[in-house]
Amino acid sequence: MATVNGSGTTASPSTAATKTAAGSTAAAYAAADTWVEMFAEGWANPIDADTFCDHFDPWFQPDVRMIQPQLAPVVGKRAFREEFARPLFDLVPDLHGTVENWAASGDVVYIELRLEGTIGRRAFTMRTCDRITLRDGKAIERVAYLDPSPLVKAVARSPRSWPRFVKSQVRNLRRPK
Amino acid sequence: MTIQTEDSTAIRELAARYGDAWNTQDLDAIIELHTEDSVFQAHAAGSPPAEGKRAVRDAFAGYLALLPDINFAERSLHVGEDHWVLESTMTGTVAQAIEVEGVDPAAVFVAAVDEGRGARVEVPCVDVIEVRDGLVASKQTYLDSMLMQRQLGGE
Repeated sequence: MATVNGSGTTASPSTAATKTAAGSTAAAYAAADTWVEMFAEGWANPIDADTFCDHFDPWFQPDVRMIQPQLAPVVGKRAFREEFARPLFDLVPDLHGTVENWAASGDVVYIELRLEGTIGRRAFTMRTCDRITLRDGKAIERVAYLDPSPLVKAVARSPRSWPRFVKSQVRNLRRPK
Repeated sequence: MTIQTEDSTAIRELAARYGDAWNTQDLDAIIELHTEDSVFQAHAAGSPPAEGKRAVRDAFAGYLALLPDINFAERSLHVGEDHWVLESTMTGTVAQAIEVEGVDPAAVFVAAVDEGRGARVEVPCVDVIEVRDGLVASKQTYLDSMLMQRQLGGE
């Protein structure tokens, strides 16, 4: 897991050690380990929304469900691409993330991820803890626990980004919760 | 193969004691379960990390003063050999006026408000707890502070 443990953690007070969990089978742990490595690679330096989605696509179940603050749940690979990734990378083209820590318990994986990007001239950092539920080695659900205020504040202080941000929000408001 | 150790049982017991200490708002009992070099960070609203037992205690005291009836209702608990992860719903009643920074995603503005006393907050929360020598060495808390701000009237 060089990708994960070699992440060069500096900001986090926690260690970047991987963890096994009580109740994990060897197979489940191996699946989690593989998934986290893929996740770390996908977030390390995405080129754009579509290459980002292309990377993740084989690792999602068709009906994958994504739950995150400020946005309605996103269900399915197409929705992930069109309603989550494209608006996000449109707003933050240089968005990237570093896995700082992870833990697995059966089919559930927790990943602590440091996200960094720039909106206008405003750089921001925020940290998220994602809970991924795997089925047959592919994600069936992702719940993101994070405080999105660093991103929203960067938007608020970068007026040129407002149209893109409002567009993404309006798109979200149109969708059923 | 199932990875199940005596350590994980001990950590499960520690998690229960730690949760009880928080849900009875007993600061001494909470901090007694921390290592001297504990670190704590709430990843919300730009909260700085607290490093060292005294700083962690001060940070926790601030939360308990703000939300004297703070409670973490467990939704799921995952225990490992040197850690646990708790998903909970954090609730509490705001006991003091606080300044929150409101950011309305629709209108895109930032404003400071000084209100919230008596408001009830209820937010999903996840704690990643690392354990060393039978004590809490690190507590990383993730929650959506914007949701809390909305509940405090900070939009």
